Amino acid sequence: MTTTATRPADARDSLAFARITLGLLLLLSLVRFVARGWVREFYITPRYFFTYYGFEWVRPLPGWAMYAVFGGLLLAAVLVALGAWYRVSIAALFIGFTYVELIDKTNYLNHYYFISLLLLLLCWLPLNAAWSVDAARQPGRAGRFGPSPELALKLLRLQVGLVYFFAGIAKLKASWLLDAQPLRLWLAAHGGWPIIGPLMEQTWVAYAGSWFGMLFDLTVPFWLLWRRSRPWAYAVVVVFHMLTWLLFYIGMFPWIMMVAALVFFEPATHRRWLEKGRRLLPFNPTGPLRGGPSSSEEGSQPTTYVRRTHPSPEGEGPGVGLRVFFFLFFALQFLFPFRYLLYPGNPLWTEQGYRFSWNVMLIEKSGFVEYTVRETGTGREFTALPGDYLSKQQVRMLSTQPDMILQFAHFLAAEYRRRGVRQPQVFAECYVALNGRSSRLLIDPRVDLAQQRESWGAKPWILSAPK
Amino acid sequence: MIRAPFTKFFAATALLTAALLPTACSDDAPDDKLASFDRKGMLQNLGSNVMLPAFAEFADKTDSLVTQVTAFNQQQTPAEFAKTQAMWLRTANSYKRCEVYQFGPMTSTAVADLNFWPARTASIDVVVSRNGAITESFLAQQGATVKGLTTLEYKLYNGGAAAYDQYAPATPDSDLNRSYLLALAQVLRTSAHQVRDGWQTSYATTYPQQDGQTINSSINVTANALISYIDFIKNNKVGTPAGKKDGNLHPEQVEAYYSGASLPQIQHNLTGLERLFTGAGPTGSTGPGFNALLDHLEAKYNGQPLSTAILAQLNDCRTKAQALGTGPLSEAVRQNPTGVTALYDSLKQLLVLAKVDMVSAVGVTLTFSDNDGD
Repeated sequence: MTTTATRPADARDSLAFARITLGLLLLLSLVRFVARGWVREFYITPRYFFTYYGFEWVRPLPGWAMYAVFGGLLLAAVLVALGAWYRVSIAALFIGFTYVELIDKTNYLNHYYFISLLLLLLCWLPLNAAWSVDAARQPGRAGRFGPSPELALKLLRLQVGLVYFFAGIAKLKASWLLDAQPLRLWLAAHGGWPIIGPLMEQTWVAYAGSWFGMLFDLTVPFWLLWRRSRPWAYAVVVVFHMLTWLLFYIGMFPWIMMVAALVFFEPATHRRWLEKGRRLLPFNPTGPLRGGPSSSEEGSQPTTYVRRTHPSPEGEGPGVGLRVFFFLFFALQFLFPFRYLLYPGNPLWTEQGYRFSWNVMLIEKSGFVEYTVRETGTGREFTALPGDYLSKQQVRMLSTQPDMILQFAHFLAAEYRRRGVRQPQVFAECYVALNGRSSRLLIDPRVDLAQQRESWGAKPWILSAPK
Repeated sequence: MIRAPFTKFFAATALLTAALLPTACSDDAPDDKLASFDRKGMLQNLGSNVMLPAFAEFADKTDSLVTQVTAFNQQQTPAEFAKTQAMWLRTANSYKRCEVYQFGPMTSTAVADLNFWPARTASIDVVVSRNGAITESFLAQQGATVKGLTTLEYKLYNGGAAAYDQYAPATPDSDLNRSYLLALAQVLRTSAHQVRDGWQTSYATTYPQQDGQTINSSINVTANALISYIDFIKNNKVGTPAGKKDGNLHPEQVEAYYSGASLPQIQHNLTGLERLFTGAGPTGSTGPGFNALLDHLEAKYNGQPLSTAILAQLNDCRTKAQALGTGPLSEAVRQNPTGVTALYDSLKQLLVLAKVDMVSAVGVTLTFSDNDGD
């Protein structure tokens, strides 16, 4: 058996690099999440949770169990980074992470959605073929599932690239391009910064930023794919995300994208980084851990090499089932962001078809909502304040999002029925300001929301957007 | 906190200047907007000329209150009692004008000690049944429910005209009642002085220095405080007694129930709020407030300046409160529910302008947990 140090770099090195960096980054994100007390704040303290349509059965577990879930996620992230029991640990990470995200849409973030998608994809990609505990324990067998490493790498790049691309598509909106909103508001908020503060209040800076952001998102996957522009493109990626990190409260998102975008580099580069990283370790991993199974008869073409040494169980490439899965997985991602076109009105205002569509940083919204519950027959009225039932974060999200306003109206109907109010009617008085415009009513205050049902259909009780 | 301001600021400066300055410099037409709004100046004015003097005035009033109670204890005449009541009213009004500024030295503990309400009358009565004198040091050890402005109010107004009787020389326990009254005034004085001193010695200096955009920056803290406070007036001072929540009237849950001063006190609250917007201080000083910031940002509300809309709504709240007449709010909720609802709705509109329009214009992160966004 030759040592793998002599085998040329191939896609397996890239997959290993992605596995290790993303595993560690997820570990860091989870540690940060737990350390900030968010497990308790988001999943244990609230008495009510805004479930997703179709996922109403997803409930939080008791407090200790929620912590156990996060403990399991931390462990799974470590195992994924190590490439130990990869298929089990990545599946656990996907299921656990997605479960937590499904508990309450209050906590929806685009990059959580991205992580869920990525983890689902990674369940079917052989990221443990090299540089992994699995490869060290079972040389020649680890990572022999799913597509070839070459195809796996392409799918991984596609997943990362489409986030940027669709974020660019989402910016093709009048308010972003023609009004430079909400960037104008956000930059002006930093007008107090020394030296560059005054610049931040300049309208043209907001326009330049908006147009640059749109062009950047739309084209950066292609600049990253092209070998000659790649280093420059990546430098722009870093500057861009650092800027967003400085200016906005977007947590881990910039870091996740900066690391994810590294997947566009060459396997040889990844191999070099892995070797460098290995030298930092206090111990010296053995050959198989670094390179996985190798063959003395390997050819110079990585592709043929892989084909010969990695016959997947299904034969050439992924089986039919997996191919159908990949096709549907990406087809859905290409179509889902456009579903807003099927709804009337401005999606930034109605938020119909807004989530899961890479609408990143497109709206600055503030809102206020108060409910009136009326007893049918007697006409007795009660003012219901969401703050009496929900966390401040939940109230903030509720106050601008029609589907949550409807969900909470149903909760109130049940609550007041329980208190002996007969056939309670529920009305919402909700004022929202979008992207610096004047506040106005979001929901028709005359509509009894207790009678309205959630569905994929348009919500006619959402009032029209300000011009 | 998400930002480590210094290193990140330098990184941003380097990046942004490298990227943007060449274009900025080539644009030689001077733009007057380049002079950015002086946030520090606004905060300086609000801190030193608006809020600190308000707290100082309140602290001075508590001094006068102690003096007056001492005088009454020496000369227990109905006339001195009436003067004590009047002094309490002036002290309470003074407090109402700074009650909005609940941050910095005005901690939630301070707020509770100064003005816990509604009164827990049973707890208060227990204090008097105690054996032995009620001293300042004894009372200072007790909970917020048996001290503060509302307890003083109960001791000065409960029973109406008969309130004086408990202090009359012939009354058994009158000594105890008098010592309680004095201890109440003294403990109130200590709390008021603590807040004033907190502002004077350090907070007035640090307040304008926090001129950034982080959650703990002064603009954020102040905006959140004024929003919470409008919400509090609406829900607790007006909504609850008017039965908005449970459909039943709760006249006894108005603030200043015994003195019947709840409506004037709401007016004083509105004055304290208004000063944050106009920047006008209690001593007659003028300077930039939130209105100046909103005007600088050219914030509009349906065509007119947002600052104008907010002041107009504030005045509308005043008008609606005045329309309820000179009687106590506890009567108005029974006899004029329409008028009380009008006040409630007007406060709600003020809340919408502050919480929705102002927040959106200023880019204040109305954040309650430092959660990630996007």
